Amino acid sequence: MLPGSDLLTAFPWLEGAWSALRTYLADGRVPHALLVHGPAGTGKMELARAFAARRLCTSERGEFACGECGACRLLEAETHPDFMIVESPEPGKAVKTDLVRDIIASLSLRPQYAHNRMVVLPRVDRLNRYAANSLLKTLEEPDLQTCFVLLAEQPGAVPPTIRSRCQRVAVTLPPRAATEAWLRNHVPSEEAQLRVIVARGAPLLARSLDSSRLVARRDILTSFEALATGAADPIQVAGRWEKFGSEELVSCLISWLEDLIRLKIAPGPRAVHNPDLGSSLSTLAARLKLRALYRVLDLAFGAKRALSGQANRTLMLEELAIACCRTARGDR
Amino acid sequence: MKFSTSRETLLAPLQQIVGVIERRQTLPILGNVLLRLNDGRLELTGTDLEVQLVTRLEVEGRAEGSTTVPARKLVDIVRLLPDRAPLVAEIRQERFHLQSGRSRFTLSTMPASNYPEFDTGAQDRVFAVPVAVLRRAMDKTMFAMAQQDVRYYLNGLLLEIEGTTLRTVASDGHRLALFEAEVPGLAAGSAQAILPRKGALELARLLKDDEGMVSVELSSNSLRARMDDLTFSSKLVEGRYAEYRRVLPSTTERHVVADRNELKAALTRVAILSNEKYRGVGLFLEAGTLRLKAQNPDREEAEEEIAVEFDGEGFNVGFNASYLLDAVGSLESDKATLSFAESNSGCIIEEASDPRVRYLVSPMRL
Repeated sequence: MLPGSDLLTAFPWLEGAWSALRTYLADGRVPHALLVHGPAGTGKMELARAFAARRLCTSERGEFACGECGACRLLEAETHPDFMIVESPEPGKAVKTDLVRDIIASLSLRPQYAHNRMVVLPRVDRLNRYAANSLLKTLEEPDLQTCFVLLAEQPGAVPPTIRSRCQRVAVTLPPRAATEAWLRNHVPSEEAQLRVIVARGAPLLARSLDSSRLVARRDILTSFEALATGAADPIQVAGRWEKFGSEELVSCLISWLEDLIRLKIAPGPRAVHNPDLGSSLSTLAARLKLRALYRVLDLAFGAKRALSGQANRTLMLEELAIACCRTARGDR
Repeated sequence: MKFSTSRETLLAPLQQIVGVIERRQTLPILGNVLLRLNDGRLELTGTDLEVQLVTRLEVEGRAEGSTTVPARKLVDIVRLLPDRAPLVAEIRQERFHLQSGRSRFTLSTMPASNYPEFDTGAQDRVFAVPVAVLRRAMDKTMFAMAQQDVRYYLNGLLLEIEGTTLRTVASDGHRLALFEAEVPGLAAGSAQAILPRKGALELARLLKDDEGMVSVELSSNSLRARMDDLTFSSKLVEGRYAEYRRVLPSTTERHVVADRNELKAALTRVAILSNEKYRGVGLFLEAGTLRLKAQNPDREEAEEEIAVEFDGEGFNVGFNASYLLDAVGSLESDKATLSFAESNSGCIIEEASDPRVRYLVSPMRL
């Protein structure tokens, strides 16, 4: 899809970020490297594509790419030689060092058309140290034609050496109510609220969620509650968890624990991740010990990190289930 | 699009095009050849985004149009058809139909507008050079280009025009090759372009005939060379070339003139026992003689002595035998002149007959 003038119509919350880019374009002072950061599912890639399209478009006029010139047609066919998205051949994996080096080597040739070249690098926050370092020299002394657009979900995880070489553009989450309203145009109205909750307010993520994940989340949260009240056997529960994705499960657990901790520290109506759980959360929070909750939260964060490597998932799920179960007993 | 032609007419240009198409592409459409039929002329285009080749041929056109079809499959089909087989090609419902006698083939197509063709617009500088001159300019220098050097501008060939002088320079940081020729009628003004290694090799391959002229067109992004039915384009290397004039000594005091073949043969033999990695050979000069010495870590030694024209004070200096051999080997005259600015400095090798071809080899410590 080539987002032209409909970028802001389709994704209205990008207005703020686009206006920063618009200023660069209007002043004719496009930085050699941009770091676009914001939570997953907020349209960073769409923003980057629209920006790249405008830079490469041969039509002089307009805030957005014309969508009709030769350059726009090549972009739409994804055959534009001066536009690159550096993505790992394996989906979901971080880009390897060799690929980054290949891209840099290919930049030693001049661009094919005109004088602009755009390189989009998604998830720079996940680049390993060597890949990130191989980028530094190019980011520091770029050629005149090339503009890098780096995308990151956690700007803090981007090495400071890279961050300091980029102009930053933040994509922020729209207010939940606005997201819900936007979402109603795309999904059944009754699902909108729940989807926004599950996606933590990220509109595109909320839209793309599979309905079965909504049901799964419900099951997962119920099982946490069952464990924390001592009503279920942890090993059995862990066995049932295997059918859900481990990443999904751990992120649910973290959101649930954070809610409990929040309610424990400051009881009363609070902004929580899972408002649909309602009063059952507060009741539970009142019963559990803060120290125990933090202990499980530490475990959960550890599990999240381990998941990006080679973790024994069965063991990990059992460990988490047992930890949840212990909160019920208030063990040390 | 519809045209008819014969197997022979289509095969040769198609095989040339397939030469530049990579076997594994980053974009699927780069595996295709772009066909464009216009006024009875069929234009075939292939590119790997670094270089692009366009060939033109006369066909019996029936309907104009353009498309892209898988290049390797098309060339295989055409190649394997019997000699002098007639061909009728046609686009119907976005498929490429090829018919020859009782054989029929249907190939998939991708729209021509999606093909990342090089810019066809006017270039900044246009000049004509005899094919023979350009070929010589490239043959004499290309071997000195660097391979995968981090100084990426060295991984290419510098093409420079200055007034009526055409100059090519290649260097890998250890040696440098320089060729100059006067080309009457070369458009005045000056221009510099660095042709990437691949572009240089491809272009040299295409410069076959010794007759005729090649029209060279330069823009800031690319070089285009037009020959009869061929148009070759290459992207240029980003950035500026190294200041090669600075490394060439302006005056040289010691001149050694040797028989080229004798020197080459002696060097080749001595190099056998040089260190395999560094290929170091020592040159020991005295009045009238040049001794070449090499030894390797196994303490094996080689020594040769040849008669040379030299009457200065004796000195010695070491070189990489391969670099010396490359330079001496590409000379054409019977005599080779080796000039040194001072002892332990680089050596300039040139032909006695044509001092506009020059090689500079850096010394090495032995």
